[in-house]
This record gives sequence, C-alpha cells and structure tokens, in this order.
Amino acid sequence: MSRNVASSQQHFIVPQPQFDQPLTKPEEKRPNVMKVIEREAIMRADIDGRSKLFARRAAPKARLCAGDVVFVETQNNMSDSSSVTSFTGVCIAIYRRGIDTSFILRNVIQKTGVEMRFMAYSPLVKRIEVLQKGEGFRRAKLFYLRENPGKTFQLKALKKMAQSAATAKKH
Amino acid sequence: MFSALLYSARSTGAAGRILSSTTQRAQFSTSMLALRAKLPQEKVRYMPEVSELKLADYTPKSKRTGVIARKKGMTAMWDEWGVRVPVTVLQLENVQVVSILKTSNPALARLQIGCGTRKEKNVTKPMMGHFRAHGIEPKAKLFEFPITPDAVLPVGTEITAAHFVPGQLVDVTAPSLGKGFQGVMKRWGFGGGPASHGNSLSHRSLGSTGNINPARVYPGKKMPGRMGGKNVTVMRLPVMKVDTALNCIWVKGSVPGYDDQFIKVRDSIKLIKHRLFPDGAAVPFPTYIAGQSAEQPREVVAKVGGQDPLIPASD
Repeated sequence: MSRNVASSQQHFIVPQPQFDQPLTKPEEKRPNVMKVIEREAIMRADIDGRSKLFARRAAPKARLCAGDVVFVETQNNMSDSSSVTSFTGVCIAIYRRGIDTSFILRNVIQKTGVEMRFMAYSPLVKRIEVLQKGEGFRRAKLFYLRENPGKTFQLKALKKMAQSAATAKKH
Repeated sequence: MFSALLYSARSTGAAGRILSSTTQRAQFSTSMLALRAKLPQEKVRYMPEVSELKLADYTPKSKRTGVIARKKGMTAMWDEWGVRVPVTVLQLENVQVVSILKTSNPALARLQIGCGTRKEKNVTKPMMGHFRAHGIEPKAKLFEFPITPDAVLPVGTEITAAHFVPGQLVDVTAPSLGKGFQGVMKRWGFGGGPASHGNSLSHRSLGSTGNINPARVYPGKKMPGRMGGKNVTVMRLPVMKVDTALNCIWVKGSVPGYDDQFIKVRDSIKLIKHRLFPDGAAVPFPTYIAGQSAEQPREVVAKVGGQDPLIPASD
C-alpha cells in the first residue's frame, strides 16, 4: 500500500504497440541508444510500409527517388480524420534522418511554383504514393528545377492536380 | 519542525536551541561570544540522518535531488495533436547517491550524486578512499545537489529515469560548445562598423573602449576572447517521454554541449504560471523506488493537453 498511486485520470500516454524490451539486435554488444530509439519509433510510425520508400540501400524501383512524381494525402488535424488535403508534385529532395525523415515536392499550380515539405513519419501524413518514376535525373537534390524546369512540370500526372485546382476555383 | 528531528548538531555549540525571549537571546549570544573567544572556532555542521529508503509525501516546498545524465543526441517526436516536437535524449547511467554532505544550514541538505563507471586503475587513491568509505563503485562524474531534508536519500540509492514525470519541467546545466577566440560581434552581439562610407579595416571591430577621462579601461569591458565552453543552464524544459528500460528521458528542445557529455538535470526552479508536475501525476518522492512506487509502463509520453492547435480559432 503506497501513497503514490497513479490516479485514474492519466496525465500521460502509453505509445502503442508496447515493446517490453528495447529492440536491440543480437549482434549489438553495446547497443547504441539512439539507434534503438530510432528503430522503435520507426516501427511504430511505419503503418503502411512507408519505411521501404525511404530506405537508403534499396533498388531505385522500390524506393522514393528525386525526380519521382509523388502523391501525398495529409490530415489537417488529429481531431477530425475526414478533413484531408492532398498534394501532387515532383520530389526534388529527400532528407534521410531516421524518424525525422522529410522530402520536398514541387509543382506549378496556376503558373505559380509551389513547394511542400512533408515529414515522412508524421501521424498527419496518411498516404504517400509514387505515381510515376522520374527519368533522366542524375542528382540527389534537384534544386536546379526551380530555375530550369524544362518540361518537368508538364507531366500528365502533375497536370491533373493543376486542373483540379482550376475547377475547384470555378465552383 | 522536521529539521529539529532530522538534524543533529555535531558541535558543542547550542545553536539548534530555540530561544523565545530577547533576554535569553542576549544571554545566549554573550555566552557564545565568551565560548568562541576561548575555543578555536568551530562551525556548526548539520547532516540529516536517514536509515531506510521509503516513500514520503511531496509538498510544494520540497526540493528533490537532481541527477547527472549523459546527452545522447537529438531526435524528433509527435505529440497527441500531431505537432512535431524536437527532443534531446538524456540517459541516466548508474546514477547513485555517493554521500550525504554536511551543511551549515539546517534547512538545506546536500547530496553527492555519482554517474557512470570508471575502472579502478584510473581512479586516484584519495578518490578511491572516498568511494570505499561509502561502499560505492568508482563513478565517472560526481556532483552535489542542494535538497530539502525530507528528500534525503540513503547512500547507495540508485536513481532511475522514473524519477522524472512526463510533462514536468526541468532545468539542464552543461558546458556549452567551445567556440574558440571570437570577436565582439559574435561574442557579445555588438553592431560592428559600417560596411562602406570610407570605412577601412574596422567592419567588425568593437569601436571605443571608454572615455578619455579615467585614462583606463573599466574592468568588465566586453572585448574579444574565448567564447563558449562555460556552464550554461537552460531552464524550464518539459520532459516529453520517460523510458525505464533504456533509462532515458526525452527533453523538449536542445541542451548545451556535445553528445555523450555529462549534464545536470534537476526539477525546474522557476515556476511562473506553471506547476512543476502535471495535474493528477503521482510524484515519485523522494525518488522512484522499485517495489514501493506504483508500477508504470516501460515508456510513458507526456500529454500536451489544451485545445487542438491545428484547428484555426473560429470567431
């Protein structure tokens, strides 16, 4: 019988799923705490197998590459799961930082260049889909597309987005 | 009241006695003066006596001990509203109470806390004697924390990450990154000189160092010099997560210094419009004791609470 009994009204959240033991690998003699933490966080955030998209050592077909046309669906807030925003664009940069991984999508909407940065493992990001693999890009970061876009943003998949934006304005 | 119970005056002086009337006080002071004139001066030292480790009731005036942790690195997490929170991971490696120190103030006790491990061959003989006297394995780092007498822990008590409650505020002290010899613009935020209009070789200089009248530079004049590498305290950082298996705490924001360095973490002392602990939290006081305290899951994450910040206010 202790005086410090946890009250029913909890002031904390228990992350799900629970791991009773830290996720260490048997070959790790002295596990790196940061690596274990990252592994656990990604295990929790990886709801639809999106971690494979951001694997560094995977075949270009299996992962997200700079130059791909990507569709992202995000929730506007955690309270209302029905309010959703979607965005399509060319991936111009990927920042691989474990759980903090992010990527930038660029598109031209109504003659205006628009860039959006998404956190890959954010609970607000509901869906990441590669619509079309990029061709002829030889760099990891495609910031040169800002000055010299060529015909990059005239792809069919990207045009759809521009059209839908135009129709939305009419209504 | 408890100070009278817990403390024992270790000297011949009767300083602990409570004196009611002024006459008594006068007599007392004269007798003390006479005593001091005769005897070699001896300071009155107090040390709380604790026999066993047991839970106590936390009062807002109580001051728990701090800990020495190791900065492990930075990462990010998301709170219940889906807002990204940058966090620093701090690990508590073999944190133990090494000794209880004597103080001259009965209302404040001091605990010496040790952290990490060190090989016996790398410990100096005097330090080894200190560790042996208290029956503790050699520690890599020692530091003292002032506490109230009701929060005293017996020597050898291990302090774990469950000492901290998710959602509470902590102050973190550590030496900042060394910046080397820096100019006044970087070191003190001076404005520097103009970029053009005939300026020559003094774009980043400090300008005047004082008036002609004293014919000297006043002490404390801000000048170029070594920057960084000094103790910095970052106050009121919320604890975002506690992991009892890895013995780690997640602290919101950045913490001074480099990775793997020893840092001091203690309960926040500046509580403006804030409570130290979240509402409804069971405070592990004087610390979390395995077996006695209520059991908690391996990982607990702080609840930020309030209203959803991502819903725009409708008015």
